[in-house]
Amino acid sequence: MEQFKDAHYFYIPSQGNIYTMTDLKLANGTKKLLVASLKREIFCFEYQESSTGLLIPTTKEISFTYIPNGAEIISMDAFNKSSTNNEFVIGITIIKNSNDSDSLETYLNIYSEWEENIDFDIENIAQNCLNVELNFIPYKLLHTYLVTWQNDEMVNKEIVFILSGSDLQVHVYREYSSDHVYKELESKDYFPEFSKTQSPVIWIDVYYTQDLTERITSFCCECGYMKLLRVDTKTNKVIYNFSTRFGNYISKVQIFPEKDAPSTFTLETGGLIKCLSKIDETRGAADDRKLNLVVVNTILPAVIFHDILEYGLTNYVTLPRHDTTSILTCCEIADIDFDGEKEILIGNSAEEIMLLKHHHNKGWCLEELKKIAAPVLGLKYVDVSGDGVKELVILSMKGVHVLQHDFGCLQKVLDSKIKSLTMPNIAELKL
Amino acid sequence: MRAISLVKRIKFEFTGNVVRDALTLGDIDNDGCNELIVGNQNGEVVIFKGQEKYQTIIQSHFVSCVAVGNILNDNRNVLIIITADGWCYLYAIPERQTEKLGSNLSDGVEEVDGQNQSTSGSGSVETLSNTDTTSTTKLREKQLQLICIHQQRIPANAKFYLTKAIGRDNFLHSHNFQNILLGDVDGDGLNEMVLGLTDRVVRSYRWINSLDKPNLKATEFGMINESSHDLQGKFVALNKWECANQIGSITLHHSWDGRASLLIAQPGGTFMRIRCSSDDSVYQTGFESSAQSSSNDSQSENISSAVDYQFLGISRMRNQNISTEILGDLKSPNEDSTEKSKSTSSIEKSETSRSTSSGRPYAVATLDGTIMLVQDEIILWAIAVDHQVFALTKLDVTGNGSDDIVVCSWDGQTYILDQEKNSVRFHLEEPVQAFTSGYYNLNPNEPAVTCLVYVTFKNTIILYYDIPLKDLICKKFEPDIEKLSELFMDEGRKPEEAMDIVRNMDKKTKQELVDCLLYKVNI
Repeated sequence: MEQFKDAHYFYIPSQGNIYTMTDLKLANGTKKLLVASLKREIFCFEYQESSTGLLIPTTKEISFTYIPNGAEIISMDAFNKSSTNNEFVIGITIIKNSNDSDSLETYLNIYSEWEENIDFDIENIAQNCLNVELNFIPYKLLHTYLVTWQNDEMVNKEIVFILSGSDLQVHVYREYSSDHVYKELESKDYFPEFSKTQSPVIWIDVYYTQDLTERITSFCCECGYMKLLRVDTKTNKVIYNFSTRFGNYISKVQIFPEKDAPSTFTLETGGLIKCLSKIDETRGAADDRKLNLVVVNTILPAVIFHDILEYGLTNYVTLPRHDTTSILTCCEIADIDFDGEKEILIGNSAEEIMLLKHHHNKGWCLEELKKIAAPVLGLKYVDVSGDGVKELVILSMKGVHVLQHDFGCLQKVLDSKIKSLTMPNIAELKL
Repeated sequence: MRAISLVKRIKFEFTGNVVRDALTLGDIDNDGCNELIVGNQNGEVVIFKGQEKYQTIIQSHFVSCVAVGNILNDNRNVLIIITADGWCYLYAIPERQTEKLGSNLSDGVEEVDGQNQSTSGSGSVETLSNTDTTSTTKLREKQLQLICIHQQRIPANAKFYLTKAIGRDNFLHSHNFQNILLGDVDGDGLNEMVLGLTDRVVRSYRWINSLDKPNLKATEFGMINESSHDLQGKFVALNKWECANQIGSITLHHSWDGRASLLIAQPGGTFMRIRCSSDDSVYQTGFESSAQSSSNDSQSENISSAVDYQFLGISRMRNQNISTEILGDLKSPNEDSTEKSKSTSSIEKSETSRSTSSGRPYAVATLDGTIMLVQDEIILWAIAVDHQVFALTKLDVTGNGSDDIVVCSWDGQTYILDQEKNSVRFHLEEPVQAFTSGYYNLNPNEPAVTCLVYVTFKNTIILYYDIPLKDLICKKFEPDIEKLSELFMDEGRKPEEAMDIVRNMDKKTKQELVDCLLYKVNI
């Protein structure tokens, strides 16, 4: 990870957790980060470009309404309802200590704008809150699609919040826009995979196939229980259901395709379309369907399950780790060296990020360790600078670190990629 | 403002209070590696080398300044320790170890200056205790230990500021032979020691080898001076200047024609400039050296000096009594080439002509958080920060050949600014009592790396090393347009047309194209 350089760091006054960093993808392509800390502070980070082309980091504290004094933030999630516009919905779960008794009040606060808006104004969103009272302590909050089919035709596709809780259940919250409320989806029919577990669910990952006909869900529990299910969204029937048990707290599960979906980028100029069609050829069709699953154990080594559609949980490899005393907290899966194969980044409590890389002959190897100034809680590989190159964003106990790729390396990679795209064309011409 | 977090650090245990100038980085043992030297109010001076504590020197009194430099003008660095009661100690590694173990320690003790002694001296007692401690430290034979080679009483009041120009950067510049000018206040090629006192007096001293053992002998036998640990010689006072106000800091600055001047920071963002030159051409003012008459008779040249006050920052100061720091001779990149030619082509200063008639910039910082970059008495830029800036240092953090300004505030906020006003912030989340920046060697075999040194109030010294800053500014990645246009080359399309397509591409499309190329194309 030598090619990463420190771009920015901002301090957060109280510690966040593995659930408190999320990104906002605006309709115009720019991305912002939203980071919450335990003691109610929520920061919005973005890069602004100055007239001279410099990137100016700006961190703004956003005061979200309905988060009372003394409340603590547990988890946060955000999504954009519209694909063409900015229609953000931000969910924040809080726990409120009431003074009188030992009872804890917990809420899911959902912030959204009244109507679709071209301009994104987070201050405005923060003032418009709907809250849902919870009767359990909230854990992981995420969003996913809820699709309903009727005779092979998709009739409805909406985004719902999914929240796991201390009542050992997973809850789904859906917007009833006519009443302007969010309510828990009572029926278990839509998400048959979420059954009662023995311990609270720590992390849930949901992956939809391209045509949304199938959903692969994985979730893990405090006790080490982990489940992987494949659901047919047309009939809402479970296709398969695998589970296993690791003997420790699991901090994250993540499903990822071995190769990303082909680019949808097109440009109305002859040259480039040819290039892109070539990109599509280079991907094997089989690879598109190859899904892997990474399970990050806190104490035991992380495990990767290869090709879960084909093999379920049988084709697994234990990922190497270099010490036995740190706690693995988070992971990110991304191609950070642009070689077309994804690497696994795992953050730990020993103030390190482990870079794991797959070698064809040796399997997964611990390639590098990157030291960070504080224990790592979250990792994200997103393009916050808006230049097409993603940055590595790290949430640590003390703050948020943004690492940018080194430009020299980038240009070299870009040169070789352009070369690989243009050279064969010449060969074809000769033939 | 951009901020960074730093990871690589070393923590040293060190107890006691440290004043600002009792902390320095320098090569005391002349092995080409920089050490960290720090002294506290109990009179302990500790030398850290690499990851470890190297030596502890016990003085009897509050250590007010430490400096490393070639003050003896014999091409080796010595450690200078000034205590608050007015004693100056020189420490060095003996060239031939332990032949005459500190026998004549008290020989060099002389009261040089004819000035009235404001403090009642207890010199003999101090000398005794000092002899004891230095000889005990010498019992540890394995490492080369520094021994006291000279001590001398210099007239003083409570505190001293030793100009940073003397020693701090000597090592850095030694490889291009510019160190001879450093600390050379009057342009005679020899290093002087300039001390600022709390009673608004600035004094300069020069090392003079005593007459019975003339300078010739030391140079005849070259570097190996057998009896180097009992030096024959003493500091003689050259000049004394009195300032109107309390002294903030003292720095050495060279104007565009290479003439040295002393800049002495005065409250409210002002400073006093003293030009002292060994030739007579400089016009004389009333501020003649009063100490000159009592100085040594080996001093043949007639030293004249010119003093002027500069009020550059006064108009923007909220508080005109705010204490001020000043730092001269900031290296700028465009000047580097002329500097090199200067050192290679000619020795005579008169022949060196700079391509630009403008002088080097210098930096001024005030406690209320104003940092200014000044060139030829014109403020190039100023920024205000919300923290009490107390330390002002320079360091080429990015390694681009130009000095960056590194300032630190009491609460640990550190600002790194380049000469174009770009800035990066680092926050040590702890209060700081002393700060310096410079180069440090972690390993004797590895080159020196940039470092920031903080003395905290929690009995630790935190040294951040190898500062990972290649650039102070952050930009978007801009792909090479020419390369990108190769994608659009087609039959019947000229390269220029392809270039135009790329040039006219809007930001979002270009961003998507870069994203697609980097993440979606496999080689």
